[in-house]
Amino acid sequence: MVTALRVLITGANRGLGLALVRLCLQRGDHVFAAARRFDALEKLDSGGRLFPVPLDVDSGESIAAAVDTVREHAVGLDLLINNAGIFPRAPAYASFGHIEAAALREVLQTNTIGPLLVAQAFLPLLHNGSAARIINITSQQGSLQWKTRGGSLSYSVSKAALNMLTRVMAAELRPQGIIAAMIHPGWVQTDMGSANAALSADQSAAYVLRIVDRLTLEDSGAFFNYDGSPHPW
Amino acid sequence: MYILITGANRGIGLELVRQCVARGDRVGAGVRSGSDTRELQKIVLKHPDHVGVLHLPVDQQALVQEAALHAAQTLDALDVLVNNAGINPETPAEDTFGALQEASVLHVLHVNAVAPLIVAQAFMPLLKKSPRPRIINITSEMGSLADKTYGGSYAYCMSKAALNMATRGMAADLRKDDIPVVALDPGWVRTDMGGPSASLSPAESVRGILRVIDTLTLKDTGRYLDYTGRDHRW
Repeated sequence: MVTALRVLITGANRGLGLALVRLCLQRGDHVFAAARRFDALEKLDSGGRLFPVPLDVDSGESIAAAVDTVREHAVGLDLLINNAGIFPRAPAYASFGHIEAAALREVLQTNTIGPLLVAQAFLPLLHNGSAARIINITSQQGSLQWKTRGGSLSYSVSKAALNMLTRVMAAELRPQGIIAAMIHPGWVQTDMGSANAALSADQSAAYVLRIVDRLTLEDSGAFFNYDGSPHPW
Repeated sequence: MYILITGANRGIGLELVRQCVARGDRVGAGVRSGSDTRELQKIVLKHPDHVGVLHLPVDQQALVQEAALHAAQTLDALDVLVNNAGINPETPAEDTFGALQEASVLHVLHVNAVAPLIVAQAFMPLLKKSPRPRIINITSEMGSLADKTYGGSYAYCMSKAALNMATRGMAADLRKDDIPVVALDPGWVRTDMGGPSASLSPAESVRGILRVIDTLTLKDTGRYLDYTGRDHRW
């Protein structure tokens, strides 16, 4: 029997985020589902444990308002999953020779700075949580060792920076008893991963939660593949 | 050879200019406006035929492209690009979790990780004219994820991990053009950035950097090396 957690998931209205919300609800967690839109979330059978939280991770004001929203319902958070992310494929974002600095900044803002600001803003609530965990959803594309092919430049750069952020946070938050880790959720059948991907969103979410449930402070700072094995840097 | 060095007015960049000029290379010294270039200008005065100063504010893409177009009118080819310009956050007090400022982190990411891509991209036509073009991104041991087991220096560490990834991406993309791209950790050097208690003099570090540059081939592309030529852990 797993204790019900107080969970905040960003990018919760679609793809992996939505699947994580569904799975957490099924097992009895209280879920703060953070997103810009709620059309898919509204269709879920929530059992009174789903709390929609309007959130645009690109906006500091929106993040501060989201903290206030969560505080209306809970004094602490046990799990934060930074899942929101973008993967633009236009040449200005992806291809050397065509990179626009502004485009790369845009991806860094959402994929790297977004999780940083969200984690920072929710830190007081996480301090009030039980064995609080911060999970940053990263990608194989953020693995330096794995990156031997070109393309996807902004996405890869943003995920490598996110991985480093997770490492620094993990080291700094460990003495406070807060765990931070990063997970490559696999290649998932979502808008981002396309229909040809190997895993369904539900399968990937189940893998992610299995890792989350087993995390200890010893694991803090680790980069996991979805199957729980260590992912190379 | 012709070597272009960004952030050439101080620290490792300035020492690179000095040693390259001393051995007869021709040097393009990239600086941003408002920087203190007195030491650099002393070298220019002594060796006006070997050093040219370029206005190269690396975080302004339009000006970088303008500088590259201008350089293309006067240069036959560029053999080596050293993306050396890099910064730390201006307010160290904001570099701890809970106090991190969005604009500051994003700015460090831009200068240290985005700009090297933009500069390399802009100077690609000139690099492609060289018989042996090479791109060196000056990174840091603080960009190593494996070694990052302590807190602090968020923005700088994130930017150098991001630069290492940009290096990997560029290396993969430029393999077809026979252009090696590496991330090079210069060691802990006694500069404005490294501080007075650092273990290496700029001269020692730069001697190592030049050895790496001189021996670099396509076999090395995508590597994360230190100034002695050894592989660094990711």
